[in-house]
Amino acid sequence: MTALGFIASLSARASDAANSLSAAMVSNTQTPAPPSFNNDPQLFMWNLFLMTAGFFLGAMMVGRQGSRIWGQRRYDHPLDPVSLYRLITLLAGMALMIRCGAEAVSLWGWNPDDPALTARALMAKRMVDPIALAFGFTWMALVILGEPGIEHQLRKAPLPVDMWSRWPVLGRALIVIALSFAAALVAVIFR
Amino acid sequence: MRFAAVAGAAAATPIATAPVTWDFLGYSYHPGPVLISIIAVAITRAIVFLQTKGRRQVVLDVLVSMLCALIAALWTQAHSLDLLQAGVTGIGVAAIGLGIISMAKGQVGAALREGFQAMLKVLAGTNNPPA
Repeated sequence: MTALGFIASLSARASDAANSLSAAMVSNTQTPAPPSFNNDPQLFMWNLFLMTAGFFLGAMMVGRQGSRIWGQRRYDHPLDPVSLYRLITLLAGMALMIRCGAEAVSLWGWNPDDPALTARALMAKRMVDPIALAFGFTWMALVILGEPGIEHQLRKAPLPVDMWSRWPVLGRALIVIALSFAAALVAVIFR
Repeated sequence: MRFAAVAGAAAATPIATAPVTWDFLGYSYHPGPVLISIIAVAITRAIVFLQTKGRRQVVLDVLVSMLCALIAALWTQAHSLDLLQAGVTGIGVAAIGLGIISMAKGQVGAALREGFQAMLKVLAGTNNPPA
């Protein structure tokens, strides 16, 4: 019952964004960036850039590992080391996507002319962050639980991994990073 | 806030709050949200659709991406969206992708059918039979 009450109070607070403390703070702060940036456009741009890029890269990771897990589901047992490895990276990507996505929404949505929307984004970030943390704790727990088996398998020859042959696969991530930087620059210049 | 303010030292710079307005063929728009919507389209298309093989497929992808960018930019301009809404619009339009064409086909087809029905009704005249 207490959990239900907690969720009910959360949703009540979320639905009343226009009269929230966050909205009052936003309407009292007539700056183009959140006040924690202290009117520093450079810092704001870096945060916008990295949070946007983090969201998209996390989403790419989740999509990639998800499709790998789904595609190999008949071949790999769920408790195989490779399955654990895929699950760990999937959860890490999910944590990054959720955390950076919520932050990016609150940064992109900062708009003193619309305090209700801005307050909704700010409060949504506070509610979504614990979920991202849960994903993070889960992958760390999986690392600990799977450590003996995974390390035993990883010690088998051939040991050195030829990473540089895979370099072109990162091209898409680089494109996303460059475009995120362009987006943040545009947002800061033309605000 | 200009480029100099961005590229300059990290000192606290006073930020100009007057929004920039550009003009294109008589349509005035805020360049920030419009450019953001286009970049959002580009990022989403790069993530989802950059694995196509073959020349024709790549050409088709580029054309659809340009169509998506155009639609997102026009939508942003027409509704004078803010940054967040412009970005979400760009992501959504790019995610629809090719479906935009079928949606447009459906809309145009429905309009044509309704017009045809109206024309038939006018041609048929009133219900009163000639005496």
